[in-house]
Amino acid sequence: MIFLGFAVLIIAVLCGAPLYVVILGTAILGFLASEISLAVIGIELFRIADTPLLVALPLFTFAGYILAEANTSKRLMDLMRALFGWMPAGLAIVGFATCAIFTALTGASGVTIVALGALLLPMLVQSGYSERFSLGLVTSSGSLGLLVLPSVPLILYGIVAQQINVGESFTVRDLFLAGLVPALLMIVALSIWASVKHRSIPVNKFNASQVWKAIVAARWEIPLPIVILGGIYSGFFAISEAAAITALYALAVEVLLYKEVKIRRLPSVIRESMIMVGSIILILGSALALTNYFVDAQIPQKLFEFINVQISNPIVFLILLNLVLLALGAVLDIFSAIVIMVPLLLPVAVGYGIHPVHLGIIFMANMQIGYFTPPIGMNLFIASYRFDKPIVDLYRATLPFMAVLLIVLVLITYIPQLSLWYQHF
Amino acid sequence: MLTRILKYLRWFESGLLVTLFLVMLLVACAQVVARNFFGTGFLWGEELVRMAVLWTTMIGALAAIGHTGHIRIDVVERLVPDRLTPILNAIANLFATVVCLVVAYFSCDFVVWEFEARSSGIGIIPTWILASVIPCVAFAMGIRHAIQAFKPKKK
Repeated sequence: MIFLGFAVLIIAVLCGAPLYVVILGTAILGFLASEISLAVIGIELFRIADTPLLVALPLFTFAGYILAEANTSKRLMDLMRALFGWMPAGLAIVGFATCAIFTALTGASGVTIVALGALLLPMLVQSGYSERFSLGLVTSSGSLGLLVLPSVPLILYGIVAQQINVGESFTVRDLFLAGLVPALLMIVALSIWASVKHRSIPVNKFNASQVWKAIVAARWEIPLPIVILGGIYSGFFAISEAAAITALYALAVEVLLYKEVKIRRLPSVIRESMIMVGSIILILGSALALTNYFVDAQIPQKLFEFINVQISNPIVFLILLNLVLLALGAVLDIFSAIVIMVPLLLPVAVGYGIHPVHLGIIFMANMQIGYFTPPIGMNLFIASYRFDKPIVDLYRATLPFMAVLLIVLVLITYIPQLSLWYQHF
Repeated sequence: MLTRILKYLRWFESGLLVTLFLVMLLVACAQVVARNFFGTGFLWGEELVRMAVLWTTMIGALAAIGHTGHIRIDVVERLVPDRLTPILNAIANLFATVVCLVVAYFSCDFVVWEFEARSSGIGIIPTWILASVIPCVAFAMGIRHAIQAFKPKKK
């Protein structure tokens, strides 16, 4: 009976049933098999209302939607260009930095490619960068910034990881402190590579009046990252408090001061962002129910014992972890990957002596690369659609960027201190 | 007639989503002000925000069906010829209907337990009323998936 159920489940997955349904279906079958009352699913879903941190998700997501609706991306890029455009391969560096900040604010949902890519791509080509390089840059940078505050996937990782008791306690703030160095490392590595490759492209002179003009244009938005970064890193704001302030501030600035989002548009922006958040948190709630079954059936322990028999060396385990996560990042969207895989992987990783915060950073770094891993990384399709290029062109264009990021990934994975330095302060 | 009712329901759903979000945003901001400048948060405020998150999640997830859609793996759909997609769509949505209705039916038990326990959620509002959003929305989601199963998909 249960086997029949699982067969139906697999058929439903292949037919494209929503993931929350697949997760709930698995949990239902699991509970039936171990003769636990299905009422437990209602109780687990109600735990959504028992997780105070969760409110950060709708608030940050809404702020991202508002910023994407206004011309924030253009102002941000003008500012970055005025500040860094004079460096060798300055425009490429501007591209990396701008994409990272914008992705952190809006989530790696493809908005960066759609909104910023359209601005960046023609600009890069005009300045003398090859089309292949420019395409590769906008596609691979669409997920740069997953490790930077207030990236919603990293907050979600924190929430999921905290639900599983592995003995090591940490906060979401720790995660963002840990993400600082790896994120910078990625941007610096990409920038060095770009400037070596494009030495010959002439650079603009630093122009103070242009910087001033860009600052004046973005004057209302500049306080936003300062408040978020300063508030959270200094510990003045809790994550959920910073989220509330960010959402209200973004709303006030874009609707009342810049007037780029009309009040009449507001209900549909709220609706769209809450639909997005609703489907993510429902997957989280469903995964909580499934995790409950996993723990009950001792599946993480069994998984660890099974893997431990084959692999005793943590380094080999880390290599395998990277391969699995890269493949996963290409197939699954980031939110589902987190809620499904973290409950299984975290206890196993801790068994190998990997710190939960370090695992979070490795997880995000892999997902970030998975976004544009051929053949089916999501950002490849978004870029192919947006720039009207065959997908094979994008495979070729992103390959060198991927190579650079893979080198950084190896560093992040095997040098835990890059992530865990914050513990010494 | 039926399409008009469905249209009004969509309106009601959107209105509820917008209201819940604004309540969540304003109360959360009021909390920040209260805690940092007056040194006292108010307890019901935090409970209200957490419940608003649950309700927004459920209603947002309901609204997602047939709109932008839920997150799913669509590899097979991209591989098979177009004339087969209605069949895949019907199977996927009917399966979703069954799962949603099972969740709706069994989470009623949980609401009944909360009713008998008389636990209070936000101030004087009892938990069972707040929790009843789960079976109600799960039921509505089941119905909406069933409607989607037989609807031709827009390209």
